[in-house]
Amino acid sequence: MKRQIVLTAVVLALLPSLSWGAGFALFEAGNKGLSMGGAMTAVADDPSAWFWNPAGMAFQIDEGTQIMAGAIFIIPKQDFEGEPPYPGTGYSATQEDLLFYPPHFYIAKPLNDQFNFTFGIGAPFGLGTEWPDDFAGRYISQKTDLQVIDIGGQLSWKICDHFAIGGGIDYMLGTIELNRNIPYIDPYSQSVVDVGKVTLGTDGLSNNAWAWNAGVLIKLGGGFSLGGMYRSSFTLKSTSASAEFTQIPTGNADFDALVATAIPFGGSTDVATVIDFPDYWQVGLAWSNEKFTISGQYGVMGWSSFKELNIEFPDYPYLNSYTPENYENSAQYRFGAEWRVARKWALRAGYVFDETPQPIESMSPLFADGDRDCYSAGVGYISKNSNWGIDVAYEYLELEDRSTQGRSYDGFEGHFYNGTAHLFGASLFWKF
Amino acid sequence: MMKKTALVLLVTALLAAPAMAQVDFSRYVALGDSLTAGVASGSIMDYYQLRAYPQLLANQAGAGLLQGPFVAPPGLEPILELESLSPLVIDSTDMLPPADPFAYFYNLTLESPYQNLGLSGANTNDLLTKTGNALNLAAGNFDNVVYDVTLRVPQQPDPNTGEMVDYTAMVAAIGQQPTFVTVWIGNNDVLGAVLGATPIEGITMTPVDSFAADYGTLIGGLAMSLPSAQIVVLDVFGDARWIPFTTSVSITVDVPGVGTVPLMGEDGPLVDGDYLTLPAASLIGQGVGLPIPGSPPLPENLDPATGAPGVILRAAEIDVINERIATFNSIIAATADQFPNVHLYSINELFAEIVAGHYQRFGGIHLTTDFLTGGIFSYDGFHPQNIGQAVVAEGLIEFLNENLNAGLPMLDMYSILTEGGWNGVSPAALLGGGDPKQARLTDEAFLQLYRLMLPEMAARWQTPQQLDRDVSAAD
Repeated sequence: MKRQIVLTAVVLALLPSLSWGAGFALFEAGNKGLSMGGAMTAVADDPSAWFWNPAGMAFQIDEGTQIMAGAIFIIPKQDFEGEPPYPGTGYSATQEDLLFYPPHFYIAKPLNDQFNFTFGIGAPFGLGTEWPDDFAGRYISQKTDLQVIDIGGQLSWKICDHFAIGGGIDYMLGTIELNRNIPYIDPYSQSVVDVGKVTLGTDGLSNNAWAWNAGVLIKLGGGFSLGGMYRSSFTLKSTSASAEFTQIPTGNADFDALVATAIPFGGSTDVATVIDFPDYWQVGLAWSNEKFTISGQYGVMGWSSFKELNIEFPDYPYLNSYTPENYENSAQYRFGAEWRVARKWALRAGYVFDETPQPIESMSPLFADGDRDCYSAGVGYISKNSNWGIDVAYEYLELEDRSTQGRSYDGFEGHFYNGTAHLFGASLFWKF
Repeated sequence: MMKKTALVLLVTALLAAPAMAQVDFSRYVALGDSLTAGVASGSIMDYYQLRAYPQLLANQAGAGLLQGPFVAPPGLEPILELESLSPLVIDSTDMLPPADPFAYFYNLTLESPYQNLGLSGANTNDLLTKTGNALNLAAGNFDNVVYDVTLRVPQQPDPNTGEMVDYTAMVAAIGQQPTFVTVWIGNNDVLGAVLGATPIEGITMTPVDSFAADYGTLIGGLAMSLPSAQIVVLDVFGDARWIPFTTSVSITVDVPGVGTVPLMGEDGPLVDGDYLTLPAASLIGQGVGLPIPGSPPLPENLDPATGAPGVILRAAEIDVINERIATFNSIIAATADQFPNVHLYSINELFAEIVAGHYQRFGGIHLTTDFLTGGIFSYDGFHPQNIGQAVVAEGLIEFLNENLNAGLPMLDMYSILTEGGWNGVSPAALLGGGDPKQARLTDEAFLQLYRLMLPEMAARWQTPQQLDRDVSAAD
């Protein structure tokens, strides 16, 4: 138990913030997968099968014990242009420069010639947004940082040469930080002023949930393979979250004193939040020969589980906030190819169309999504004796421009555009 | 075949073309009372006149500046300011008005009629009958100042007959041959009962028959004289309990050693469902209404003879007032229904939503009808400040877009919410200077609201008040 806490603490330290899969899912499970558009469920031939298809590990038993570790750096960008009534036309803003680097780490150990056990750490969900301090949406969210870390063990079973299944359990650890300013009507200026800042955070590892996953991989013959995977939904309840309120002086001492009677400045108060995370399934078909692999994949994330984001302050119920989210299930289409140009070198490319689960009503400074087009490429290298290698990948992601069309749940109307992200990373692996 | 295809394409293109806006805002005239004039914080002042809903609407429609009787700071009745929150003191600014009436009312010599014909204190009948004469001001007579600055000439020749006719607000409106008219009138036909805390038929409330006749004359006259204009009428502000003037003062008081006890009125203790109006707080601060020996009871009712207002709205009085509002609003709706070019925008759905806390949020900002910190109402607790005017304009724009296909852009609320009110004096300079005996609206502050809204009663009340003050000054 102690070792696990130390390990997860290390992983937490590595995770400043995460972002960038439709909704706030992340698919950055490995760099081979990244370069092939994540069309890995029917391929699943490296340790990232831990994420893409647990059955895939059973066909890697001959590789011996494998370790893979890596990270993917994400540099997102997004602009905002206001629409009426709030903040109104002529208002614009750009997200702060951010850098995220979700890591991945896997150890796969064959138990015999049929069974394999894999231990893995990944980051299946994450969200990070940060707007300038004076952003007009700062009363909804100025900075958001949500991280979910998955620590999981899996067993894979090669039932016969053509057929394998796998499954495992996931221990999900979540942290969330939300920062926003508190508006109030200043009776002196008769206008909206910022009277305070609230930082809401969960206490590190205290929020956890169990989930499970399963997969199947069939070698159909003629180079074809068919794979399917399922990852279950889970609910993170924060029981020991807290909020800290910091007062922002307005210049009128008696008004500040009045505000201080309503908001618990200077201390920490309990907060309760519950977030329902979606389940996820994928099916894929791949074809391979000596030189080439081509893979296509379809899947759905069950985002309809994410109905609302509620933040409750048991000691100060009038500060509670209930934000409808009403996400919808969303589909993904993934395509990838690999060309093994030489024994040591492989070139890869991929494309993903990732449908947004977010209705325009719930687009907000907290998170404004859109359909995504992702174009990726990468290179794989494996050493002469095949006992180590490296995969590098790059992906360019384009987010659909979308407007709230006057329907925002938060009353924050506008056009989120120029959403792009550059993703690049490397995964190192060893076999022994 | 080619021709047929071309025709189909043309028809499709025509069908797909956006529907044309059906409202012509090129000549917009607004009729109404203080809400239309932009009265805020007990004053008519250009800062708020330029932020009243008709001007906001005109801005969105590209109709330019609506001319009106602009008043230079400190406003007609010097504007109220928040002097301190603890103790709570709201009083008129000390700033002096310009000595020259033409500098004070600097738009007085404009050689065309005003488009904003909002007349503070006006009831429906006043729009049909009252006239003004700017020469009164030059002579130093301010008795009829609102009409003198707004209508300016008592009579004008009828363009058809050449006969001189009384230049009333209605005549001034029709004379401009507007293409679009808003009429928000009727509030003063009943809300004087709230201001004076007493419903009195014929004094603070217009009798139903008179209202029905006057309203029909006004709206029917406009609709028939301006058949090609679109006319939007707004109804009466729907509940005596929606304004901070009625809801801000607690009906109980903490007496050391006794606990929380109800305050006393002339007719006995206040009970649940009764309300105290804003000026009550000042009286309570002076020791009136306390349930202890020697404390005189709070004045219950307006005395029509002396003009002295009451400060207690009993539950039964609220019922009478609200019932009258409902009756007036049904008359307004029925009148609007008679004319195809008259459209009713009910302000009450909007305010019911605000009062219930269901009004839209602006990027996490929540507006309420609370006094001082709600954002909608000004320091007089009765009139909206610029944010409240914008809320009305937003509602009206939505109505026009939905019902008349006006295609107006909504307001940019971020700048309106953060712009702030008029501040002639830095509030920081006033901190700590409050007199602990004063509370809420000072007597003077209430008096100027009273003058703006019930001028006749205020004039009666002012005389003895002034005498009292002279006596105390002599002491």
